[in-house]
Amino acid sequence: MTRQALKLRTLLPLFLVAGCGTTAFSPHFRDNNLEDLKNALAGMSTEPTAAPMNATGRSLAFVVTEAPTEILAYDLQSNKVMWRVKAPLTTRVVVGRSSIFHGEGKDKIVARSLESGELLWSTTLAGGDRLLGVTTDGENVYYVSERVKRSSGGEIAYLASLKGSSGGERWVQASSGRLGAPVAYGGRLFVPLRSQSLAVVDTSNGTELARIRSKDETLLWVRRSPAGLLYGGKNGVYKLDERSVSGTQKGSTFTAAALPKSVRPAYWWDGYNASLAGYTAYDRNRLLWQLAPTGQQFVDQTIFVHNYRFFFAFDTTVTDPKKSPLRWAYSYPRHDVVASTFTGKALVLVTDNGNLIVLDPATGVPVAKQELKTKVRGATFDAAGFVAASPPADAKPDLRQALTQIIWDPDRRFGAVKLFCVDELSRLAGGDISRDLVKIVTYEDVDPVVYKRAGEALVARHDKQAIPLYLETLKSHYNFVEGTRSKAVDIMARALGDLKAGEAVRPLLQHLADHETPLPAVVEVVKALADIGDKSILEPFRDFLLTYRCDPIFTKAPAALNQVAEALLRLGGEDERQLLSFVENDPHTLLSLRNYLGEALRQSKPSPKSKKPAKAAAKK
Amino acid sequence: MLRYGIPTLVLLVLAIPGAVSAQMTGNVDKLKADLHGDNLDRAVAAASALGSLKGQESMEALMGALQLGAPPKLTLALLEALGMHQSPKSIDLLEHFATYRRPEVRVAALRALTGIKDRRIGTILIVALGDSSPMVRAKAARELGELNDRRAERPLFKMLRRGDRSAARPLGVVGGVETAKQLAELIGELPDAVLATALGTIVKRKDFGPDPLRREVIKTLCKIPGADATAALVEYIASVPEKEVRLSKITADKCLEARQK
Repeated sequence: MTRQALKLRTLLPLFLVAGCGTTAFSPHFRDNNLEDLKNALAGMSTEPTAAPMNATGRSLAFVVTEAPTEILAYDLQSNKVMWRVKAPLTTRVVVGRSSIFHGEGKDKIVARSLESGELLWSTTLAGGDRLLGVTTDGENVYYVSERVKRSSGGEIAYLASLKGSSGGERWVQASSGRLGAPVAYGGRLFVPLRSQSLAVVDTSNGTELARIRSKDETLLWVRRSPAGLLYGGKNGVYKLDERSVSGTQKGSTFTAAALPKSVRPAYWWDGYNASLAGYTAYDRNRLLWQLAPTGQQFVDQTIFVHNYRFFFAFDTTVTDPKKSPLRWAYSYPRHDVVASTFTGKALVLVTDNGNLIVLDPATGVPVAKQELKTKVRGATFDAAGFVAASPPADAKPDLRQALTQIIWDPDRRFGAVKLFCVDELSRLAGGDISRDLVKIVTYEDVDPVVYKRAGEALVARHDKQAIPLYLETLKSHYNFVEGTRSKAVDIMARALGDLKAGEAVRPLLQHLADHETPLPAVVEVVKALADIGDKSILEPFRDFLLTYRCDPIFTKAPAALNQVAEALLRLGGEDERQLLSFVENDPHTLLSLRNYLGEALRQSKPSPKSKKPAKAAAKK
Repeated sequence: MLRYGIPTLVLLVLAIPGAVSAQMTGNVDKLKADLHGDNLDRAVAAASALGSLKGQESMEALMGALQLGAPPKLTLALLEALGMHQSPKSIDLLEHFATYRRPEVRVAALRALTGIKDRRIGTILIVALGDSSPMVRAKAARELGELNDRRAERPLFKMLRRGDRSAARPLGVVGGVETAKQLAELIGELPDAVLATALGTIVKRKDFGPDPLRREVIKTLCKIPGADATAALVEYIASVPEKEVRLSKITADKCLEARQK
């Protein structure tokens, strides 16, 4: 057992006894009390707005490489590597004023010089089995660790403070309730507590000064930002102010973005998830945003979605579901973006193949790119307010191109993203969009889900201008020798049927007669022909019905025969009625068709005009 | 309302059991009644019997039953029976069933068609080479070889290039000089057995020549490793009349000797 662990064992019971009634994180602590909060906030210092934390004042990125694991300090302003050191780190890097901090091994916290990367000190975690988060106020270090199993005394988590200069222990507070990753801000410490509260803690001794408890939702995270101290869960962002004591979204300074359902509402890292103390896939699939100083809207009224290789910018003011809030989309080819930040004036990305890219947040257009020439696991940014070079004047986002680029991306992992892009593409105006959608549905290796969604979008467009395009697409049939295949017959049929395009009758009949047309597509072809309602379909429909009426192959798609029969009944005359009556009564006819016809014939009575003697009809 | 030459309503009248019973005057009428009856096995047997009976009436009975639609088992029997009549009048109907959704029915329709002497048959078979079913393509290719229909040369070549081995021998039957040259260029690209079969069939043909051309094909076969190429060379030598002196035969002999070493 280490000396520090021994010390902790000795001290913890004392903390517990001393904390009785007023101890930090007690379940009996008064919450949502304005007086407590006012007192807690009154002593807070003001943090500089939109500027890096580090003492150099320069915008920096600490990039963690793979094989070997190294920290690479990069100056975003001069585009230069400051230093590079081997570091077997197990958590993300936390940036202080003159030091950086990170976890190492199972239970160590390490400090390094921000100027050189040189190891300054290393210390063992006090209490807890796993680190949930580290923060610094520039002078001292604070962290939360958690036990895997509750102690005999009932402790589950610890909030501890170390001297930034030496790593020496300042104080430790034990908690019987779970604690989340802490944040030091304005001379106070803010800690998520019991998944529902936010504790305001005195940095000098770990005493809890005030507590905010949400009555509406789970609080998962706390964040330091130029707009102030922010906290929240999955529903949006709260700004800490006196209104917070309401404990409700309505009563607090709260904002949220109306995002598509497919977007994961990851506003910030879940402070209770120990794995998120390190660089994980979570870094690649989250929201990027800054809050305006009022706390009531996002900066530039924009929220960015980072989804692995893709970025989307959403207008947070659009709430009408019929209107698209999507401003731009960006995709990085082939490799994942493993880290990203919105500085308030630029989007900075680092890819797993070592490219550092800066996007213009207004357009999504890349304005800078640097090659680090290394494999990257993750990165930490200290770049608040960082501005890159201005984009070229003619750099306008081409949303259609960006969306189609993502849809055509061969990476199979991103089905949901592609579906979203299909939806957004279909909302754009212009004839070329129908062409784009046709291109998607006729692509041989298209994901079936994307095919379905693009097909639905195409039909819903009701685009008469696209009829020649649909007819051209229908010309394609399967032929082994020629190496051709039919393309999206079902969707073309639906679109043309919906448009009641008379010129589609012939090509659709050709697909009906083609045995290579898949059965589900046959159903759509029949429906489309019936919808168009041209009487020239009567003969081919009679042929089709008689040919297949007894074949169990159609038990898989009874609608094909049923629809044919229905169309004959609706469009035909007495001859067709007699034919259908024969089909219904013949014992070899499929039972499903017989039943359907029985009902259909009963429901429809022949009009007196169409009645004619059977002999006359036979002579015809 | 005509359906392959017969008014549908006439067919319907024929299909009504009562109507048929009233007309039962001979053997064909009894078979027709069975054909349209409830018992599937009896209908199948009736179809076979109608195939054996020559004459317009039995053929029309078969065509009528096909036109009204039948379960797959009976459809197959009807097609087989209709094929026995070998009548050009049935071509349109058989062509219709050559595009039926079941491959076994398509094969049966093609089989029925091949007994008919008509230039349209080759066209239908060529279309069938594009079928998605290997069984249908193989049947069409084989029959085109039997018909020696030169129009099939390019489609069969394409079929072979797309990896369907069943085109090899028929292509050898209908292929000309250009095909032989193109096949020679595909050594290493197409399977050795496929090339050996196609070239071996070509070179054996009496209408293929002159001998310098045959010798080139033999040289190509020499380059192809494996038992199939050896067999093709042996068969070629055997196909040349014993007393006829051909340089191509000498080349084949030498090649075989070299292979034996």
